[in-house]
Amino acid sequence: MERAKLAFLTLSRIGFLLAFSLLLAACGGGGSDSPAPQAAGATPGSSTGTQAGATSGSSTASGSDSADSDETTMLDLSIAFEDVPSTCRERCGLDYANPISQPARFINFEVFDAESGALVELSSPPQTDQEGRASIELSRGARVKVRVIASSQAERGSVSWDISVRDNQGSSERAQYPLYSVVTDTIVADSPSLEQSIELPSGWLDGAYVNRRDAAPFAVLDRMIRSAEFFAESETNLALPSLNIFWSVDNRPDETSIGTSFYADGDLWILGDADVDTDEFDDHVLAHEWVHYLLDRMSKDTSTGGAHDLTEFLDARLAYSEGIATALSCLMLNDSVYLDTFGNSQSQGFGFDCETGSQLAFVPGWFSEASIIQLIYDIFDDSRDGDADTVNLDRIALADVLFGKMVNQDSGTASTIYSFLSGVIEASPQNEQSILALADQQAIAVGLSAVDVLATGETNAGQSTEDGDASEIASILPLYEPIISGDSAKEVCLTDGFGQPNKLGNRRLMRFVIENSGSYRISVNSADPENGDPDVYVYSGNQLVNLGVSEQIGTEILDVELNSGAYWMDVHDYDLLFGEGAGSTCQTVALDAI
Amino acid sequence: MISLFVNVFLLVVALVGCAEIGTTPEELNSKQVIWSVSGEAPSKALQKPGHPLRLGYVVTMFQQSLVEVDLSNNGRGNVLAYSLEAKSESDREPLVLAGVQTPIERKTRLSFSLSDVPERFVLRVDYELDGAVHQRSYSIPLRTSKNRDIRTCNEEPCYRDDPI
Repeated sequence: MERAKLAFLTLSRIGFLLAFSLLLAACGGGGSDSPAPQAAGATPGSSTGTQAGATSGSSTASGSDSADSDETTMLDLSIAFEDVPSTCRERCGLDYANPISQPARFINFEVFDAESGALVELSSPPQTDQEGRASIELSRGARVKVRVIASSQAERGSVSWDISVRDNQGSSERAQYPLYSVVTDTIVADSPSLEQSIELPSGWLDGAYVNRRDAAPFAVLDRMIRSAEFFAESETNLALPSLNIFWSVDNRPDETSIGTSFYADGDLWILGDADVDTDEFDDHVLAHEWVHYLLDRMSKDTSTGGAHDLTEFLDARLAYSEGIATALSCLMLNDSVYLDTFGNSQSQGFGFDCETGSQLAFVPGWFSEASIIQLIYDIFDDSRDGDADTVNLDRIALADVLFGKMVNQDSGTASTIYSFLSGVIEASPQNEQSILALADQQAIAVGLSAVDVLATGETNAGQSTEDGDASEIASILPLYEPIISGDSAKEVCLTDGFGQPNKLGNRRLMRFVIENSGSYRISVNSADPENGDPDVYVYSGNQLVNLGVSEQIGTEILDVELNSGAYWMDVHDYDLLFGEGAGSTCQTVALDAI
Repeated sequence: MISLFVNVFLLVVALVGCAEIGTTPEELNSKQVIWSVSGEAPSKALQKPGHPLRLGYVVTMFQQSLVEVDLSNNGRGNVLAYSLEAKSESDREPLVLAGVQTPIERKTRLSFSLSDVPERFVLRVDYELDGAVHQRSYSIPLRTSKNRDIRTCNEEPCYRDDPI
């Protein structure tokens, strides 16, 4: 049982941290045949042989105007990748008939001697500009190769990033995998100036991927860079931590590989399984997963993770995390239709309109991913599409909410749509009533004149669902059940009536404030001491403080050192979450100084 | 000699037994399980949006190349059609093995014969949800490439260095 619990924990934030630590300890990997980095400034070869030229690029000598010395050659690099747009015009899918050549912007490259492999010292930074170009001064007669690397470290406006795309070869284990890179054929600097054009193809030919998919890792990298650039003018300094993206043609949606595209512990894992599910050209999917990274590393995200669907009744934290990730993907791409392509020839797709909700049948509320998508999209989109949509906050306000207001919120609260709305209203108090009107449209904070992080006054417990009954509703509100140290135990109830293990009513959030730092005991007891397996997780804001996940039937005792301040807990029953048809159960929870 | 009699006796008993339950020795043989795999599709709990289906599957290979694939839909959405394809890395064109059309119960069995076991099956699913028809594709692994070398790096930088 304990092992099973830990296996599940790998799907939650803390679990991934534990797994990451284990993987770090275990990795070491096989041999690498990458050339060892060599000191810059190596002397290029002096051969004056004819230009070899890259096979899929083109290298041409140009006039001597740009070269100011007969001792040097100016090599003008132009790097682009073939982008395949996704579309839902006639039917959803990738539109291979209309590829777009996109500049490979802000990507790293190296120039090295064709014979010795020694890096050539460059007078300008080895990175393309925003048009995918770079000019390189070479010694006349040098014979060099250019390595184009799927990585980027750059700064634009108030944001900086460090992104790498690596080939995990279908493996789901975290390890040090090689960076995607392509190397040109030998370039001979035999004229005052040269132009080298490198086109990275998608590999699609005559209705199938028959060639190597060189464009894919650069398409993924470009989407990540563009996502970061969305906040470049936000007036908030955003030094994004290093991000590794694992993409491979062997990344399949099954248990022998990565399973799906997802974010975990600072890394993105992206599908590349041709004719089943590829995501390298699915911009919304890439942006959605990038937002998970952004929120986890720079904002506040306490999502349970796990399976979710747009029409399900979800845990408040999961609904917020998935909802905002999709809403921001639509905003960042300035395209309200979230699109995910898959299937034979990537000719099928799933679309969801962040503006209209695509007429999906869902019960609106704070537990609905679809409601949260529409609400957040409406607050920040340009269009005013309804009587209530009179708000159009900009990305400066968005950055202030995500990286300022929410980060500094009460540590006794998790991340939910209420913490987001509270931050938005704090950042833009003049729009409070308009924002509440939009929330009202989604059955969130209905009739309330104010909203706070605790969801005070919320009355929507998903009553309009056919599955809902009185006991389920009693298991859902208030969103935070307060508990006081030294008071008698408080009863909370749980239900799997909306599904499991991350659905509405599965877990109760409890909140407490510690006045005096010291040792405390948290006791959770099942109403039926012969059944149930209570568990408890204690958090301060984004941080997991401690957890009690013993296998003991009917009770969980957690002794924990707590500093003064506010905390929140996730209290649940392991058997209810992972058993079969448990229905509902109740627990008593007590907090005492020891 | 005694063992010969015993064997003949057992054979007779077996034949009589088969006759009583209406199963020929060949059929009895054909239902002997060679291997079986089971799982869920999609398999990962962390998922992209838009996966209302939860498919459980059991693939059973019997003697005489008979295969049964039991499918159960545990999620939202009504399955209208299943189509099962064989897929191996060397395959250019998909090979459709079996399919079934609407209406489909929550649990469905696909049966077919298969001489050469592919690396995996790809299951194409048409389903209806909230009045709209959708399609999804799922991967069902049959053979894992356990001996495949996964290249990792001991130090950075570490490059693939594909030629162009």
